Amino acid sequence: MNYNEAANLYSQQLTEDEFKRIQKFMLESLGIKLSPIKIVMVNSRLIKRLKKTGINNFKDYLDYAMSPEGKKSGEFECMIDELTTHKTEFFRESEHFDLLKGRILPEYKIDSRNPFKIWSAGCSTGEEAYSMAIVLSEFKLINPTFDFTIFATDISNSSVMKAFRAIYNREAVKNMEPNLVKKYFLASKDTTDNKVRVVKNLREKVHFSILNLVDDYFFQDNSLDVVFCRNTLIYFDDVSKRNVVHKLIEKVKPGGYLFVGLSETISQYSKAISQVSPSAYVKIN
Amino acid sequence: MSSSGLKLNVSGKLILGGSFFLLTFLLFHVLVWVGLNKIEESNAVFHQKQMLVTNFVKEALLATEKLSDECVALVENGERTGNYAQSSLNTSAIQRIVQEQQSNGNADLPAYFQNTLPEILVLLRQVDSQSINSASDVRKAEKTLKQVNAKLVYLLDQENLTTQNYISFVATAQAKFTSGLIIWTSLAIVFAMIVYVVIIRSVRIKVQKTLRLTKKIASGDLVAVSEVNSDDEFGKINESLVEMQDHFREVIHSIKDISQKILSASSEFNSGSQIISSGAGSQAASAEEITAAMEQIAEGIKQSAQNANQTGAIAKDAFDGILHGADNLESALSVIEEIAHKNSIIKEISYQTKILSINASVEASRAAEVGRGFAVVAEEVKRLAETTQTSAGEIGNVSKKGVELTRQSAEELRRLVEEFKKTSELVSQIAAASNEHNATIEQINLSLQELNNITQQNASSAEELAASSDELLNLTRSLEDSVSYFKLTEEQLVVEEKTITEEKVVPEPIRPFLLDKPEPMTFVDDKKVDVKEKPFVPEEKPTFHDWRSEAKKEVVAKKTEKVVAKNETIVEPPAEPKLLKPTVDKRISAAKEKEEEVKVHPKGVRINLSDNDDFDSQFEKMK
Repeated sequence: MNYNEAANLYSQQLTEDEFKRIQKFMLESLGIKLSPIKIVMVNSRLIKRLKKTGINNFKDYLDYAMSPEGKKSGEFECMIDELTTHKTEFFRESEHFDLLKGRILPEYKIDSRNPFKIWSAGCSTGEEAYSMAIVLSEFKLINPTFDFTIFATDISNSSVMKAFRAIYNREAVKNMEPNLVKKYFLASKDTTDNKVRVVKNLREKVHFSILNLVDDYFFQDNSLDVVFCRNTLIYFDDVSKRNVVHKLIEKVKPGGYLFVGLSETISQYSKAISQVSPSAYVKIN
Repeated sequence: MSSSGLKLNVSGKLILGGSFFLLTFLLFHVLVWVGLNKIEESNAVFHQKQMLVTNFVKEALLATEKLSDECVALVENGERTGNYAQSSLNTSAIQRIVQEQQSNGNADLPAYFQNTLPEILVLLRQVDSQSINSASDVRKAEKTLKQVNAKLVYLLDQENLTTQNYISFVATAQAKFTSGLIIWTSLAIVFAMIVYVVIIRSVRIKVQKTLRLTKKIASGDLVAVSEVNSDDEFGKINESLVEMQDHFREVIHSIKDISQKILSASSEFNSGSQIISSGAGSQAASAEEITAAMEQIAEGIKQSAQNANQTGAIAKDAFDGILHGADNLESALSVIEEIAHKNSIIKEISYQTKILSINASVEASRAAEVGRGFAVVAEEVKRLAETTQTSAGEIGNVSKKGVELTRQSAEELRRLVEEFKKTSELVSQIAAASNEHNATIEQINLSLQELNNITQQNASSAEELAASSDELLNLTRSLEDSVSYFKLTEEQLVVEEKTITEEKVVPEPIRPFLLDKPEPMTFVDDKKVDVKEKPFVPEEKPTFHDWRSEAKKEVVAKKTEKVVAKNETIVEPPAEPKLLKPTVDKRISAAKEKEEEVKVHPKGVRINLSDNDDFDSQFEKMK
């Protein structure tokens, strides 16, 4: 590709119709709403894929990505990856982890046959799931009979892969307690390389898989102690949000907890839950 | 006792009303008790009197009966014996009864009784004082006794009459009492009604009014006016309600105010974050573009560095060649000089040969006929010597010229060598600079990658921010809706409804300037190309089957290029600046590449890759 071609590629613009096609697709298959202003975002994000695939216009790209070949080659997944937002960080919205640490775990009745089950729904690149793992491991140090399993799912293949690899920039852990970082992270041997990696023990506690929250879940009803689904619902339209909230609540044990993002409220969707603190809900028995 | 006249609170009223009822009840009780008591008392008195009278009359009647019997006996005895004188009638028993009755002195005995008793006594004394001497005397006494009897019967009759009178009196009294009771009860009921109407009604009205107010407040009306204006508890309740209304109004007012502000702020925040988000998106795209461009530049610079290196190498070869050439020329010059020297020997020899041939031809001519053949040979030798001499002379000239030319060439070459030395140095410098550029560009590229990552993160954050702000906007709207339940003032209500509907009109999203098509960059002829003027015409549409293989080819080509470049850098004479690209990074990025190969994972299946732990060898414990 020469400079002119590259320049030309970057000057490609999504047409209104193409954008509407994407909007429709996102809403119908993922329940994600894209407002008209998102055309810029979609445009800039998909250009990367155009560049990678070498297709020089959006129409052909969309045709290809949504075709059976596109699904087979993984381009379809890549397109979804680009169109979804993967913002996350360790101990993001720490109030919820404080609640987990300060209230939920102390009140939890340890049952050696059934480990504590927690689900990070919409885990993105895994920071949330590993944050949970750190909190639960710390609790396990004090209560050796306690055991836990973390499930982490996301729709984005590449995000889940990153989460599984558990390699992060050192920047990502700079706000964490240094002793926790020391305990649960490895540093890159190459000092010029600012990477850290989650230790194996912690990695093994997290089960990663790909899941579209609009589809069916593989969990049993009333089987999870805690579900985190934070800053994920904000991308859904109202109907999908309601459905997803109902399905999430179904999977939570009576007396179990459901967390959503601090900017989200879900009490209007269900009477089976009651709020215990901002954006934290308990399932009514 | 009306609400305006007597200022009593509700409990006062209730106590008053209650005590009225209690008093009335007590009064009734007393009345009934007294009445009943009176009747009983008079009944007892009456019965006692009646008993006295009846008993007395019965006893008296029995006594007179006895006397009458005695009289009859006297008469019979007198007729039989004719003697009446010896006996008299003894009435002392009867008298005793009567006197007893009298002396008991029951003053409250009826008058007829009191009056009749002395009459009876007079009659009895008459009988007593009368001496019985004859039958007529007996009959007289009998007559008097009959009078006594009549009197007693009279008493009995009178007594019966009195009883009858008393019965009718009691009946009348009872009737009176009943009617009195009815009147009093009616009066009491009327009074109770009045009390009810006055007290209860005033309370009831206040309760209703208060209820109306609380209902209004419950329905969110914070401007409802209290209708109760009194000093009692209801007044106080209403006062408190109004106070509560005032406080609520104040609080709700500020909430409304704040929520309005939050609404406008959050809609501003929303549109701002949308702009930031799309800006960040464009920025990310631009960063991506710049990165791509920088990659291209880096590629170019790498190419020129390679070229420069090659040129340097070539120049060095040429320089060596020229040096060699100069050396060769030097030796060529000495060879030529040697040739010239040898030529002069040849010339000398040819000259001597010529002399010898002349001598030979002289000797031959001397030998005449015998030397004729030899003379031909000598002539031939002479001719050859002459030719050689000429050639040697020519050679001498040529070599003289050659020496001169070679000398000149050598000089030229020497000068060239100097120049070449300079050129070679310059080319080396260029190569070194190019390499340095290359390193710098790679460094820039790394930074750009970092920048690009950050920009992408920012774009993600902005995206998240925008989504959250949408949520915030919705929340604020619902808060606004919730608060609008309360009516603060009638006018405000109308105004607020208006503003809310105005606010609800979602403002057209501001299409940020960054939406404009980014100016495409060209790096070949260093001038901007307006895409609008020169639309890009794709030469050939790539088919969907070969893009991957092409991409792979590109990767392979790049890799081989890299290898070539590496090999060449070893030849480089100037010290190549070491690139800072860490080796671990390469391996990690290799992992990333691998990830991309893996691509699609089946949904809902636990992800597990066998090589995941291998990367741990790149890491160590934190220090």
